[in-house]
Amino acid sequence: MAVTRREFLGSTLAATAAATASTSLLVSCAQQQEDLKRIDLSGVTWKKGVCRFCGTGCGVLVGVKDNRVVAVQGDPENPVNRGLLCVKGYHAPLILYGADRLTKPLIRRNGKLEPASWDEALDLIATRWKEIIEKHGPDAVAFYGSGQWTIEEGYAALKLMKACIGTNNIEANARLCMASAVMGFMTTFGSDEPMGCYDDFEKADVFVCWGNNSAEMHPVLFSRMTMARETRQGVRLVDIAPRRTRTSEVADLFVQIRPHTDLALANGIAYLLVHRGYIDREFIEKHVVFKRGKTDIGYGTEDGFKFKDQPERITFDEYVAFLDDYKPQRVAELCGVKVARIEELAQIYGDPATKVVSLWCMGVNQHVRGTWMNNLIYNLHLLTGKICKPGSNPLSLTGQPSACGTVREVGTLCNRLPADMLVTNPEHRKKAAEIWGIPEEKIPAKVGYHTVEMFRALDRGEIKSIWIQVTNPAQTLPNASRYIEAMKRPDTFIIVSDVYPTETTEVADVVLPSALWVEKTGLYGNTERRTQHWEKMVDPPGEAKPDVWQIVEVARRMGYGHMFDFGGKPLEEGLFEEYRKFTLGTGKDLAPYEVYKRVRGLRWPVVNGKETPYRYVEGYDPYVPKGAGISFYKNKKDGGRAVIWARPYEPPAEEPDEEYPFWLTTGRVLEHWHTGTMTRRVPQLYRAVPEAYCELHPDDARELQIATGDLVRVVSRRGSLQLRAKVGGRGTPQRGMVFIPFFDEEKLVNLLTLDAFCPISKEPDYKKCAVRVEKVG
Amino acid sequence: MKRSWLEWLHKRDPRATRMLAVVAVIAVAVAMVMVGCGQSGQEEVTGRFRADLRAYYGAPPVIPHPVEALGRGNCRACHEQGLIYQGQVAVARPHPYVGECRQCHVEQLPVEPKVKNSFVGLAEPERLPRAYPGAPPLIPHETRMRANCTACHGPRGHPELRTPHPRHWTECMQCHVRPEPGVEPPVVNNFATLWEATR
Repeated sequence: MAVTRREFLGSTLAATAAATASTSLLVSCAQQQEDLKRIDLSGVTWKKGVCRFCGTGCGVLVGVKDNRVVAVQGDPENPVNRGLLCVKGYHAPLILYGADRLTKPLIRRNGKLEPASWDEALDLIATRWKEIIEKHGPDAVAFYGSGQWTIEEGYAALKLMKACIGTNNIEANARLCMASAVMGFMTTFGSDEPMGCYDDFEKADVFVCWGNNSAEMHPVLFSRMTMARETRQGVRLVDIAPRRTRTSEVADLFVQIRPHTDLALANGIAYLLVHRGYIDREFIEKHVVFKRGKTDIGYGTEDGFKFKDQPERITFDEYVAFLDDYKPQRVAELCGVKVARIEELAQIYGDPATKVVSLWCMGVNQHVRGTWMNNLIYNLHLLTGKICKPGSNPLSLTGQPSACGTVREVGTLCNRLPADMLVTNPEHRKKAAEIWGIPEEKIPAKVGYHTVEMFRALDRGEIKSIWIQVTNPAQTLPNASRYIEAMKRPDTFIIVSDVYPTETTEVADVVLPSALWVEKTGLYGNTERRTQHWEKMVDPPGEAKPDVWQIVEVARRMGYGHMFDFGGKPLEEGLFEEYRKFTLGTGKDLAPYEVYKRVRGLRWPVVNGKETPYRYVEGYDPYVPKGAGISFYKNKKDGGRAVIWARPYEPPAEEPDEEYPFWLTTGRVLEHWHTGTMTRRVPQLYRAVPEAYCELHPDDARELQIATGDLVRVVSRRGSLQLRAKVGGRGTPQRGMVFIPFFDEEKLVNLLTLDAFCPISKEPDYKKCAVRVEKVG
Repeated sequence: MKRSWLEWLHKRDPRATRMLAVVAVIAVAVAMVMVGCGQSGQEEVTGRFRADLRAYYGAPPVIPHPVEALGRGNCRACHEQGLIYQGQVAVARPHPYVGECRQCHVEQLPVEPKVKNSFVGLAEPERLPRAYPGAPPLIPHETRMRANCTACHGPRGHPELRTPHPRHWTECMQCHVRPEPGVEPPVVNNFATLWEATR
């Protein structure tokens, strides 16, 4: 007990690493108790909610007393997590109570953000937007939202932009994380989002993770996998990744491939499936067509990059001939793995008795060939007929709590309308215009700017103003310096709605204080198509207001009030009920708003009150015709069949060379959510991982004479960053590769990354660029 | 005084007095064991210490010792069976195996966040009153994620939580039950009232 708080604070990070005397640490922890005030149990009410963080969509019970959140429990009645949460989820109540919550609108005057009234701020936004639109047209304004938007917020923003203002310039940060998954689904199945669901975790024999560290990023789903392995014989976990992670540690088989060579590996597995007779010919004949598209498709690093694929049908034999480039020996050399490993994987996918679930997330999606890689994983399941069968399905995991529910289903993207519809399709525009009660011509047929191009257009002066909600692009855009500078310029008008100061509020002209999580009512939609509702439980602090209110207030001031008048219904309910009209009869049907208030979520399509665990499967999915068994009915242009794509290996946009000899991969850590805006204000999570670091392979570290705790400089062609090295921590990159997490606003790794993207999905590749590493001092 | 209520009770139900005698013996035994364990100063420190490892009652405790320095995946070495070493207790895992230990339990480095947090968490529940002295205590806390009672209450648990009857620890829930929080029985039972009145 001799350690005082000051001494405690004074001790350095490096000293901790060295500290092994547990006694002193135990005392140190007890010392923290002066921080810990407690509230007694009496009078606490518990209400159902959804976790604020990842796309898993865990149910929570939120304990509320005296208008404050005092605890959460994993909701034992929620089938997603059955009472379990991860460390972020358990500490979610604390995200509301950081001392620097934004509580008043701020307007930049003479270079300084100063408090203002809501009326001033909202009038300023409406006036500026009207002026800009009058002078430069509707495409000079843009909205940039988030997969953490509630469904109602996303829908309100979409309606403001596409139905009221008449521009398709609305994007969301899901472009940076899920766009490749979307385009993978659209090109293979003609409809976004998975056929399978979490029920598969208790039915599968083998889980294959493709570039997905689910132990840290989807912990509750990972625990369902490891529980399956504990409780059923023969269950295995396979991890395919360039970096050894906590997932690899637990996996039965770890296949460490070179960065970007997943394309070759997937084709190599397909080659073996075809040549070893592992394919399901009957399934292929009934449910599959083969196609190829353009090759050598570029990387989008230049402004105004355009790409349009030209799909053409090919025969099965042509597909087999295409696979000849992926004979095991060549693939093994390219990937840096043994031939035996590829054979083992082919055996897993090929053995008719083995039920396989493939899982992937950012490793596959944040990829300059992300759409292709999604296609290639589907190929493996389609070739073997291991799809649309309980226990055997590809499952594309989502990163954000409502990337699916809001961005993908509502369609808050520059090319989309709700429920899989596209702005380029006149029939789709007609349907949307009817629901919105506006003339068809109001919705432009021209696709708006996708995220990277939107910020480039801001820099070029084509876009004059962006309204940013629930996301922090100054920290998350790749090659961020150019876009930060553009946002800082006085001729750009940046509006940011957020809950805490961020890198983006730093460069904003107007900052609007937002309500967070259970301070408002909302719906989120998770990975397995489950739409979940929660009610507002506590008041937001100060003058903070829900994002949806902010959107509607600006709309009113711009003269679009009538578009958001729902006859006295609560705003959230009115918006949802209108949005629901888009989904009915499409195979993406949602239930009435009232229903979601009662249930622990429902998986769409919800028809006659019944949810659908498995899409495209007779007996589960009401849209599958009787006797069809399986039908990919959404892919009308291919006669209700899915597509196996011939997609080749093509090199990444930037590879290590003599000057920049290391691969740089970025990502998350378990404890922090995205840019750390919320989690870095939670003491327990802050103390667990206080700052970003550069992870090295021990052999590389030895060669460079770098040890854990040493200060290193990481330099790319775009920027440089100083941070501490870490060797032998929770992850170990392969030789010639470093890993840096992106949560730390004091160490902006996106000053280093490259703004190359998948030409089809426009999703940037945060996993691969070239850097050099220097020891400082 | 005592004799009179005993006589009264004996008249009402002779079995009750016999049960009371058994209960009294157990109660004395419990008291003796508790006194035996109770180096009260230490008890207070460890009790507070345990609560302080959580953000609120129900939150997973943080890890109060270095982890990465110990190497990866070695939690089970101490926390599988539980371990007491030099007065420090490494309790066994009270819940069934769920994935990665560190998906809920995280290490704490001695650094302070730049921003203060004003969260006020739920307190640990108080002990619940027994039906009568010697009656088996009720379980005051949630049992979810705490299915393995012996992790904390067995011989390798924290001193102040250990059961006084370690030989009977296989079926804890046959005597100790968890009252559903906030639920009142529909019919009033006067047992406690009588007990209070006669004391």
